[in-house]
Order: sequence, then structure tokens, then C-alpha cells
Amino acid sequence: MAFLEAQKLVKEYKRRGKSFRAVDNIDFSINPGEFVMIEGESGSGKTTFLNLITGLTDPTSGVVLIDGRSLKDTGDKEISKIRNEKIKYIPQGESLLSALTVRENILFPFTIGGTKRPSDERLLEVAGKLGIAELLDEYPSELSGGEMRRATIARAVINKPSLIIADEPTGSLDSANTSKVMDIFREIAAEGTAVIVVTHQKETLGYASRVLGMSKGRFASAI
Amino acid sequence: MSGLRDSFRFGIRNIRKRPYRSFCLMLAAVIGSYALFVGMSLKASLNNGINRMQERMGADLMIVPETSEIEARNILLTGEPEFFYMDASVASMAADVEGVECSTSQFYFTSLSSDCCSTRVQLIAFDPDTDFVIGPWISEKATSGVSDGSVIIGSEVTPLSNGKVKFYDNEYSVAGKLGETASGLDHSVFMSRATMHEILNDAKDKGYQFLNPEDDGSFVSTVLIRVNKGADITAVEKEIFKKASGIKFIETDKLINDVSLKLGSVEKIINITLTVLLVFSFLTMILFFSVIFHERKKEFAVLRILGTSSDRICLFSLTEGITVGAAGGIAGLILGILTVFPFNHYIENSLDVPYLMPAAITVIFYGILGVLVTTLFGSLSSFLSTLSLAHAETYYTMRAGE
Ligand SMILES: Nc1ncnc2c1ncn2[C@@H]1O[C@H](COP(=O)(O)OP(=O)(O)O)[C@@H](O)[C@H]1O
Ligand SMILES: [Mg+2]
Repeated sequence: MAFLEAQKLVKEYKRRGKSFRAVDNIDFSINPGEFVMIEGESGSGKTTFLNLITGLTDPTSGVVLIDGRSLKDTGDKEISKIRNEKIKYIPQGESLLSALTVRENILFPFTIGGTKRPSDERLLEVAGKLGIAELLDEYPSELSGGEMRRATIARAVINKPSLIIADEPTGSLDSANTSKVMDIFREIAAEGTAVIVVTHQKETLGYASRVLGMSKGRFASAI
Repeated sequence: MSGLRDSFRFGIRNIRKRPYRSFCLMLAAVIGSYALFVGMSLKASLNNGINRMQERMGADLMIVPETSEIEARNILLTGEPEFFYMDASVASMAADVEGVECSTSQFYFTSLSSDCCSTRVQLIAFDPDTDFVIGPWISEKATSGVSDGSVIIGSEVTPLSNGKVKFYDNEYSVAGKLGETASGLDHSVFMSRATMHEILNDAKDKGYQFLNPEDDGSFVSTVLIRVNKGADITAVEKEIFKKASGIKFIETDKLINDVSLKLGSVEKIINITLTVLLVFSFLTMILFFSVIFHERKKEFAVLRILGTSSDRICLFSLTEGITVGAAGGIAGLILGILTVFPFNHYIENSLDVPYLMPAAITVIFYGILGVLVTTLFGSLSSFLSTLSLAHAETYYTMRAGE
């Protein structure tokens, strides 16, 4: 069974009094270990789609099923718990909490969830793989863009979630950092985690096991 | 669950990481609690003062020399030492007027600033045999009573370290102390005519002549009258006026009334200032929380993405509001205490109306009230900011470019 499934998903927004569909009737599903990349122009609805499947935004119509259960029937507390443990969303832009150190940021989901923290070995293993082991006690303001991005990825992968979703994770990175980050996603997928990465950089598409092209709120083609 | 502890810790971290923002918020709370504590304490002290004064005014009517009405009021209200007198015959005459229940006379003169106390005090000779105004207030009675050569001091008069007071280089033992009256009489020293005679002699030796000590039996400064229950004060005044000239009347009720009026306007100013400052404090807090709306919008969105429930986000933000409100409130209270207590006398003198600090429990209550109110302000404004976020869908989503 697919871990996550979307059926006839629609999200309408209003622009200058007129409503339009940012996401228009999308069907989608993803299995464990799959690495899906979604490519599309800016404004095509990629972020809106991610917000819908993570329960951050309610759809105008259609359903999202996680482990076969509709998000409509799931309360805020439970959806929050799913995002806390199973679905790790790496939003576009910076998303580290500035009041906390890198280490505290990586461990913050466990603070929120009241769940068992990963061992120090696991933390060092992940941080080492991402090249941020020396930065654990720094505050985000001390980090470069690439380092912040890798810290954010560390926060997402540390507990081996069921699904990782990343919105343009390599947008502001140079090519060396870009391939470093994409390698990590490929590795995680190989370990059984489903991965969805949104991008508008066509050169990264080779990492994916499936590529979806998005245009005007729809998946136009499987590239 | 450790949720409360964690949200508290996270809130504190946020406060410390943004010192400027937190400082401004706290400053608003400082102003709120300071205004509340000082304002309420002032008002209570004023009301307490006039109530006590009314309670302690034993006479209904005072006869004073025609030209000395203002001086007599000063003695009662501010304790400004004065000296005036009129012929003693007024006293015996007034005692026999119909409607007068009892009457007694007093003589006012002053000490030197170099005497017992750091300032000049009002010296008042009274007649222990007919007195009905001073006796009832004596709170700490010495065993000896008011014998000649000893004095009774007002509540604000501090004796020398040997327990005595000194006038014109001679020391007098203190036979008793009056309770607080909130009036000028707190700064006065009371004695018998015989003691007054001694002091007048000493004063004369030093070159200060109030009146010739030989003549002191024939003059009084004021005659205090209590009228019969239900008697018409105006009729009594008329009757006395027929038989004496060069005199003026001060009615206690009118005096209290005048003070009340003045108090009313002082109170109005305090009320307005207090309201303005409280509103300012609250609005500043609300304003600040909305000014930082954008910063928080992103922060909240991250918290949402990481799996924080709406309830928990409210808790985080509430923790910040409560901490800032309470910390600022306590700081404001400390500032307030540092204002109200050390400057007590200064406030009293500059307001020119009776002033008496209320009981400690009342003051403590205002302190707690101030801190509670600013804590409420802090939690309310932080809560309102999360409320407006929670209803906007943007709260959940991070738009491109943000
Ligand atoms: N909260 C919102 N309110 C109104 N319009 C929105 C909102 N979020 C996105 N949109 C619009 O929906 C469209 C798709 O946006 P988005 O999903 O961010 O695109 P992408 O991520 O592909 O760049 C855009 O035209 C955008 O302006
Ligand atoms: Mg986007």
C-alpha cells in the first residue's frame, strides 16, 4: 500500500476577487523507498501541493490519505504528531529556529513530541555525514546558507522518517553542495524512506526514481 | 508531561535571544505596574489622610483672630508653624454661649530650627482641664501624664536620642505621643500653659519674643468649640460675634469640605494619568506583538512544520507574554516602592493635603495587583497575536521567497 495518497486534490485561492486553482485535481501516491521529484515553473503550485499533503493547508476538495487514513478525519494534535514523527517537511528558505543552537534545532522535534531522543552516536553520525559535526553548538546566525540547509536536512533525517519532503532544497546552493544534498536524499530513499523533492533545476532530476512535471496546478507529464 | 517546562524554556530562550524586543515589551510592563502601584498608593494615602483628619478633628468650630485665618488653616493642614494671638476674654465668653457643649483654648508659638528637630515645629499650649481635642489621640501615654515641664509630641516629631525634646536650649521630657492625624498637628508639640511659660522665658532670654511671659494668661491663639448635638453652628457663631470683635470662625466641616474638593481634583489627575499609562502600556504590548508579526509568522510556520500543535504554539507564546509581563511588572513594582516610600514626605508636602500611607496589607495588595495586571497584559497581547496568526491560513504555509 502507498504510504501517502492524494485523490482529486483541489486548492482554490482568490486573486483580485477571482478564484483560481493553485492545485487542480491532482491524483498522486508514493511508496516507501521511492524518490519522486516534482519539477515546474515558479507559481505552478508545487509548494501549495506540498502544504496540502502535509496537512498544513486544508484542500478545497479531494482527500489526502496517510497510511490509508484520511487527514480530514484526523485532528490537529494527531496531524501534528504525524508531522513530528513520520513526515519531515523541509520548507523552502531557512527554517532553523534562531533562538536555538544547531544541536538543539536538530533535536527540537523530540522536545516538541516528548519522544525519546536519538543517541549521541546517531546525532554525530548524521551530522558527520552532512559535514556539520563541528557546528553543533553554533547558532544559525553563524552558519552559511549551505550549512544551514544541511542542518535542516539533519533535523529531518535523524529519526529515519517514513516520508521526507523538501521544497527546493538546493535552490541557493552551489553545484558541489547541491550534489552533496542530493546524494543524501538518494541514500535515505535507498534505506526505505519515501522522498519528495521539489525543484526547478532540471539538472538535478537524474537523482529521482520518478519525475513529475507540474504546470498550472496539474501534473502535466511524467518526464 | 514535560510540555509546560519545555515551553517555558523555549519561551525564555526566545526572550533572551531577542533582547531589544523583550526589553521594549518589558518596559511597557514596567510602566503599567509602576503607574498602578504608585497611583493606587497615592490615592489610598490621600483618602486615608482625609478620613483620619476628619476622625481626629474633635472640635466643630475654631475661633481665630480675624487676620490669622490662613495661618490657622496652615497649622491644621500642613503643619507650617505659625504664631498669632488674641485677647483671652473670647474664651470665657464663648464658653457661656448657648449651644456650646464644651470649649477649650490653645496658644500657638514656634520653636527654632536649631532646636530638637531638624525643622521648626509648631508649639501648642493647651489646657488639660478643659481639653477635649488632644487627649483622645494620645496613643503612647507615659506614666507621668502631662505634668508641667513635660510635653506631648505629634506622631511625626522625632525626639533627641535621649528621648527628650529641646526648645531654646532647654530639654523637656516626652510624656506622650499622639497617633497619626494626617494633619499638620503631626508636626506639633503640645504642652501645658506652665511649660509654655518656661519656654517663653527661655525664648525671651535668647532674644525671641512671642509675647511678654508676664502677659501669657491674658492671650489665646484659638478657642475650640464643640456645639451641642443638633445645635445650629451659624446661630452659635452669630451669638459669639455679638459679644466679640476682631475674630473669625473656621468650621471643621467646611475645612474638610475644602480639602475634599482639592483632593477630588488631585485624584482626578491621578486617575487620568493612571488610565493613560495603563492604556499606553497595554497598547504598546499589543503593538509590539503585531509589529513582530512577520518575524513570528515564520517562526510559527516552522513550529507547525516540525509538528507543534496549535495549542502548544499558544502555550509557547503565552509563556513569553507571561514571563515578560511578570518580570516587567515586578521591576515596575520595585521602582514604585523606591518612589513611594523614600519620597513619602516629599509627596505629602508638595500635595498640600492630608496624606497618610494606608495599612501595609493594602500597599501589598496594590503591588500584587500591579504585577497581576501587567502579567495579564503580557499574556493577553501574546495570546491575541497567536490568535490572529491561527486564523490566517498563511500561518501554516511558508510562501515562496519568505
Ligand atoms: N495563501 C495563498 N493565498 C493566495 N494565493 C496563493 C497562496 N499561496 C499560493 N498562492 C498562489 O498559488 C499559486 C501557486 O503558488 P505556489 O504553490 O507557491 O507555487 P510554486 O511553489 O510552484 O512556486 C501562485 O500563483 C501563488 O501566488
Ligand atoms: Mg514554491
